[in-house]
Amino acid sequence: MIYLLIGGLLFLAIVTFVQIIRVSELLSKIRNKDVNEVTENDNNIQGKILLVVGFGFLVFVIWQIVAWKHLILPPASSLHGVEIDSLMNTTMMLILVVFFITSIILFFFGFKYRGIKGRKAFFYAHNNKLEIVWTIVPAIVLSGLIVSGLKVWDSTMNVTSENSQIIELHSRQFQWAARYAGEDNILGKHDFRLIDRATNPLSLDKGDKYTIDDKITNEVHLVVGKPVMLKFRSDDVIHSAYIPHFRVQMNCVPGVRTQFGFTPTKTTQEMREDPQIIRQMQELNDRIDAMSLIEKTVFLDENFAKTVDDLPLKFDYQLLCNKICGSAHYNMKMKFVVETQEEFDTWIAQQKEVGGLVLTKK
Amino acid sequence: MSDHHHKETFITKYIFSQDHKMIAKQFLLTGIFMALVGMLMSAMFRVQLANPGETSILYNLMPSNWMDPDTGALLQDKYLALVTMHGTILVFWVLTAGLSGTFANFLIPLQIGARDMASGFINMLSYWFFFAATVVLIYSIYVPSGPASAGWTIYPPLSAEASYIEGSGLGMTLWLVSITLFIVGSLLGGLNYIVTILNLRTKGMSMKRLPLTIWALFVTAILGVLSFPVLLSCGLLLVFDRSFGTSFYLSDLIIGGEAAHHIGGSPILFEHLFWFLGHPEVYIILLPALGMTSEVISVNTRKPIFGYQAMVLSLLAIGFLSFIVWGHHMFMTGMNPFLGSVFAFTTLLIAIPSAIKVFNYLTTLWRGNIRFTPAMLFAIAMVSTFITGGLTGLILGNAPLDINVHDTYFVVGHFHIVMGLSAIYGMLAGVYHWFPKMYGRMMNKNLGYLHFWGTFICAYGVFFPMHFLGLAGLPRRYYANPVDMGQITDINDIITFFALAGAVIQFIFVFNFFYSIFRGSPASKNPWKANTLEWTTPVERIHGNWPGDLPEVHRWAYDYSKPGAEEDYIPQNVPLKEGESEH
Amino acid sequence: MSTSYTLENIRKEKATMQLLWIGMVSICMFFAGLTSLVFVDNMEIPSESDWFLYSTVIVLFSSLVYLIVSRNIKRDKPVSFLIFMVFILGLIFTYCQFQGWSDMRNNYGIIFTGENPETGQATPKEHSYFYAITVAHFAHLIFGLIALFITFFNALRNKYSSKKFLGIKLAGTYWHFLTILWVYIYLFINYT
Ligand code: HEM
Ligand SMILES: [Cu+2]
Ligand SMILES: [Cu+2]
Repeated sequence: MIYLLIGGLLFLAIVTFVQIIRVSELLSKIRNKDVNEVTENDNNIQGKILLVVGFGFLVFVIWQIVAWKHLILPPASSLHGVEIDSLMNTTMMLILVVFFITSIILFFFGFKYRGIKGRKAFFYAHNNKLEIVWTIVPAIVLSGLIVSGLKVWDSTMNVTSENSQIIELHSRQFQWAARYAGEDNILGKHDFRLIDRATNPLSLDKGDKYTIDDKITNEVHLVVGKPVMLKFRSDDVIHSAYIPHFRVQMNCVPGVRTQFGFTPTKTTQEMREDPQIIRQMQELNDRIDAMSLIEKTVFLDENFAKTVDDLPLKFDYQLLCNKICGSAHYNMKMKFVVETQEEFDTWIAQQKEVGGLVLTKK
Repeated sequence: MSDHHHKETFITKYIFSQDHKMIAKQFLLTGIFMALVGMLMSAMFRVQLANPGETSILYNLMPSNWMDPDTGALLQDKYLALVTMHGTILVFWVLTAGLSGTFANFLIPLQIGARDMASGFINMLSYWFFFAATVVLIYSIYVPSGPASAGWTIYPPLSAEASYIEGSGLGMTLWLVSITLFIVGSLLGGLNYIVTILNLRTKGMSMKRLPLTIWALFVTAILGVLSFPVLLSCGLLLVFDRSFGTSFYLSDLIIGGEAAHHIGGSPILFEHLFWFLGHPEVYIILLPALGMTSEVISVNTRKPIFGYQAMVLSLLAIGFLSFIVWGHHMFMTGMNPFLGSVFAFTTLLIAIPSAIKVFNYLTTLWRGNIRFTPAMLFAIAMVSTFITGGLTGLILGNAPLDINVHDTYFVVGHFHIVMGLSAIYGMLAGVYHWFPKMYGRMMNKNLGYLHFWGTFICAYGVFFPMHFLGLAGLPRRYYANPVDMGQITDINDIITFFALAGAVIQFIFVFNFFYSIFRGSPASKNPWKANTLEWTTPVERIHGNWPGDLPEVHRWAYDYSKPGAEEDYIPQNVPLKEGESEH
Repeated sequence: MSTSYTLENIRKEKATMQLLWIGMVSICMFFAGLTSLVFVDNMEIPSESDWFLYSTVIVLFSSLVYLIVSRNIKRDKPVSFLIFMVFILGLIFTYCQFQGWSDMRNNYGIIFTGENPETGQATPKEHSYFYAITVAHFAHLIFGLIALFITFFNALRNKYSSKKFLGIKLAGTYWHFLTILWVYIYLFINYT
């Protein structure tokens, strides 16, 4: 039935088009002109539409910035993230300015110089001075960007694990696990051949003395202001550990060691009091409120593994998987908590050591 | 080409034709068909994103095992299959073969004044390899385990092991077969383009007088010939890993709870090889569009293109630089930070020739006498998207800024605007502009306008908001919104609305295209009053292009509105007047 | 008319040669892609068997013979036997390669893929790589052999003269290319 309907609509559309074309052809025959010749009138109309739609697009861009500004990530919650943010803001301002200027010129020129019969265009083949100017100016601006960029890049990527708390993030389809290095702050060895999903899911070397005090958890707690070094591992495909609020991202590649060190600067509690976060959560909760009870239950269960009792939802840092990794890629995530030293100490004390005994988590 | 007049059967004329114009049309039709397939796929996954977990009649276009038997919703891994096929089809089939294949074949002999390509036979082979590739790719959609689903970049290990995702079984094998055929076809085509341009230019057509379209197609062909073989070697090793159990890219894997035997390989190696092709590939897509835009803008502003020499040099610079920037796709793979710095530096260098091009386009518009054909509108839109998308490249290319937007929708927005839209606009500009030469008839102007405005509005409506999704931290290739990002649903709804509207609007073009082939108003020999040689050929398209002698070239292609001339255009085959200087 | 015809012919010949040249550049990129792996990864490629030394000598010799072919045809001297000789040398080269591969396999335990029966270890990628690159060369050589055979056949039928020997030039250029490629691969697997 539905196909019949679609077919019918398509047929109607085609008939309409043919009729439109026919009519315009007939009209132009009467006026003794080729329908498809672009006339001065066309130039006039299209030039004006270009101006209107072009500026409409620019207005649309401004509208998006105004309407959606609060939806983007709040300022970074990490030391290096602040530097990234400031470079990002500078770059963003710069490209917005260039974007608006060049777009306005483009649409305006299109409109201004729309063709008029009899006018002759200005024969202007080249001007070396001009061209040199717009080679050099971008070159200088870009040098500025790249120099400050490389500074930030260097300081972000060349972090050593000295003084950092070492945590291993282990990824597999489709879940994350964390391993704390324990008192000695040294991770025990692992070898993928030791895998045993039931008793040793992280394929740890139980004979290694550093393994004993390691702790396996399914969420990550960090101490505010204290550097951490995340070490990444994957058991199957490439995953990517993406923690947007910290401006942290690194691929987890099977067979390759990768790492990312950073220092969190805002506790989860502080984030929950951030005006932008409050607004974002407010919108999310409003949306949930508008649902029926059944919808709510399903929505909360599917997306958050929560129930109606947990409403209203509160903000948490999230680690997302950011490299296509299979069917549940979109749902591969882990909670991060940033807290004070005391809170952390209580939490970590409750976590069981690997202890060479049972290596199962949960 | 002494055999202009020998009898042609239907088969040699329309199917196994060796005439470059017919081969061009074959590429174009296949390209349009694949574009529609790719577009329908995108409509499907956009519908899923707007209504996650719900069914839609669109899904019925796909095999029934793609849907959940109870709810009729699209399965999670089939969402990825759609994304993968969409990317593959658009990047390779539409914007590489459909674009270069069509216009290189059509324009090179016509604009340089040659009777045909250097080797008509190789040219024909090139199409039929492409055709075979198409058949295999389409077939792979219908195998029970589904087509390749590891993203168009097919990173192993995901693409290497069927237990990681279903599509990495037979579907992936077919993908690799298909892409191999595709590469062979592209290489054969590319060889021919280069040799034709180097050898078969007519008298007087020095490299300095080549139209910019030809320059662009020339650089494109060189990029292709140098980079596609690397993809082939990259794919070959993947085949070994997948089918013969070697360990080039694989190591430390756990498959089905057991340790696999692979050891010592590295997926990063694959990424290096892949992106060594991958980045030049994006310019293979873009450059022909830039070339055609230059041509269309110059013809329709009735002005010479501003800074011809700078345009050529920037093409060459972009072509060269595109081989040393591939690492910017891999900043987050844990590569040596110093190497990252080098790639960030080279990447931002590319912005300079790009900027030159934009400013030269703008100056070309200045004080022109613009004739708004649909082609011209698409060319202007192309400049607009090139600006918008190129600028976000400055963020992605600056390594530290990439940390937080890599693999998010910000990247999706960037490359769809700068590559997807620019190249599609360039291609459409080309179709509208050269349609009269291809089919001897005009496309309907008013439907063209309708198509243009609809496309322009919808396309920005789809891709601009994606930047905000990315800045909100939404990763790409997600089946549904993750966790506490419920608040971005609005943006997703807007995108899907424009995506569906934009898809529907493309049917105006399809209708106009086919209607005009048969019923369009007859075209005159040179409907746009253009200078290049193709417009000196007769309307009825003949084997060998020109009856009698080849035209001789006396000037560059851009003598529009030259002071002292009567008309506002002087075709390239008109001798210089006494005392007239070139340029 | 006739002068312009030969002119067009010369142009076509030049174009055809260029097709081959650019095709060879493409092939180079293919092998560059393969060899770049070794530099990225610091691999040590095995190359124990002596057979590959023999094949290197043979293929170099075949190229030398082909140089004589090119000289002879320019002076209208007979070439068909020499081309046949190159073809046979090509076959001997093939034989050496196969001997080499089985030597590597049987006497040095270097296999393309699978598990080592003694240690149970998976094949290291260096070993797989050795086969990948040598077999890839061989795959290109097959086309060279076919080209030689066709050229030989045409020479037998006196199709070539000092004025018209494009086929000989094409086959020769490709054959020399294969020689150089092999020497490169040989040095490469021996010195990495
Ligand atoms: C100003 C010039 C440009 C710069 C600096 C630039 C930079 C970048 C960077 C750094 C990325 C990687 C982003 C990431 O994955 O995190 C990227 C992605 C991409 N760019 Fe550009 N770009 C520029 C222009 C272009 C052009 C002209 C095209 C195409 C014609 C293009 C096509 C692409 C594509 C296809 C991707 C995504 C590939 C994928 O991951 O699927 N870019 N660009
Ligand atoms: Cu994942
Ligand atoms: Cu790139």
